[in-house]
Amino acid sequence: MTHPFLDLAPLSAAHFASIEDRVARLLGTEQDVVIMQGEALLPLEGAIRSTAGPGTVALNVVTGPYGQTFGNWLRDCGAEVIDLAVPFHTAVTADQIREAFAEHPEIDFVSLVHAEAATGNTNPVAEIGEIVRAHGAIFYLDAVASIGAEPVLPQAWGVDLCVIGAQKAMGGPAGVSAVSVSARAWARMTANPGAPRRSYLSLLDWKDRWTDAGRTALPHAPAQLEMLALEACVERIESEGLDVLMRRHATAAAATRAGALALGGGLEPYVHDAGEAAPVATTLRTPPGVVASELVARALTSDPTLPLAAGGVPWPRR
Amino acid sequence: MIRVNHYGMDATIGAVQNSLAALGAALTEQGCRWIWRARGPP
Repeated sequence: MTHPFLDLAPLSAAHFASIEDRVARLLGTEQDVVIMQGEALLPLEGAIRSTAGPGTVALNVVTGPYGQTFGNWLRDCGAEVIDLAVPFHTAVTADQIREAFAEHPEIDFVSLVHAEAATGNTNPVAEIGEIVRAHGAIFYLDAVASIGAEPVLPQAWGVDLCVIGAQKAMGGPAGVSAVSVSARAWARMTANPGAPRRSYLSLLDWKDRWTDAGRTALPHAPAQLEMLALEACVERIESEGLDVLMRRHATAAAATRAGALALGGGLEPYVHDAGEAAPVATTLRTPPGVVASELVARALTSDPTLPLAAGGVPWPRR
Repeated sequence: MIRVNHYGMDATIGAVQNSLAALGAALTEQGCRWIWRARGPP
């Protein structure tokens, strides 16, 4: 029996490198891009553990559940963490970042989620990047839910570590991910005695054995299916046009907000300000007395393929 | 909270319309049940 998923020829180093180059073009960056062989949590955790350690003073912006996770990893590395939490139905502002630096000029690492699919908000990365760069801190960005849906320009915005995954707006596989790494970030990792080495979490292993070695021999067998799926999805984006793809997301999000209100059934956009709403997913509050999971389950009985989910993450009540 | 995902090929007006129509129908159905609970079944 033959099957398109089986008996694949090995993915060559040249092929792997060409996929990396296409991802770099998608990000509009000349920084190194490393494709990691796992879901985006792999480079998200790997980048923090490679860069942060005792002596790091991190400003961790919390606009949803991932910000909370990053804070935990940073503390686990021994970093001093200053959490800047904002209500999940809003975005952080550049002024709040500026104030945090004024209060804690020793901050040398900033972690931020660009867009949070779970809460439906998006943050002004370009403005924040200017402030972070002016203070010389390393800027770490989770762009998993924004890439493909809105502009993601790590080099232009001064982002040192930008992690993406293909499974959301790119419509691709979840089993591989990528991180762009600035020269400053590589230098910080190299100087960090606690940075993972000889580990699946290690970015420095990829630097030493792949990027700096001329990308001629892969450190280990890559995930072929996922790599081919990533290549196919980047190819599809190139064919459609990234701008067209982003416009589709913005239009769909705006239509969902307007349509939910027009329904008149009590559904309301969770993110109040449309300018702070992520184009990748629109979160809606249900009317009092309506259980979101029951409503979604009922809606999905008519068509289980509808892109609906229940159980976003509301702002925690204290 | 409910999430309408606009992932890749789902980022279309058609997907939005179908999602909202299904949510509207589900709300209507649940609304009827509340009225029954309040007034007793017909």
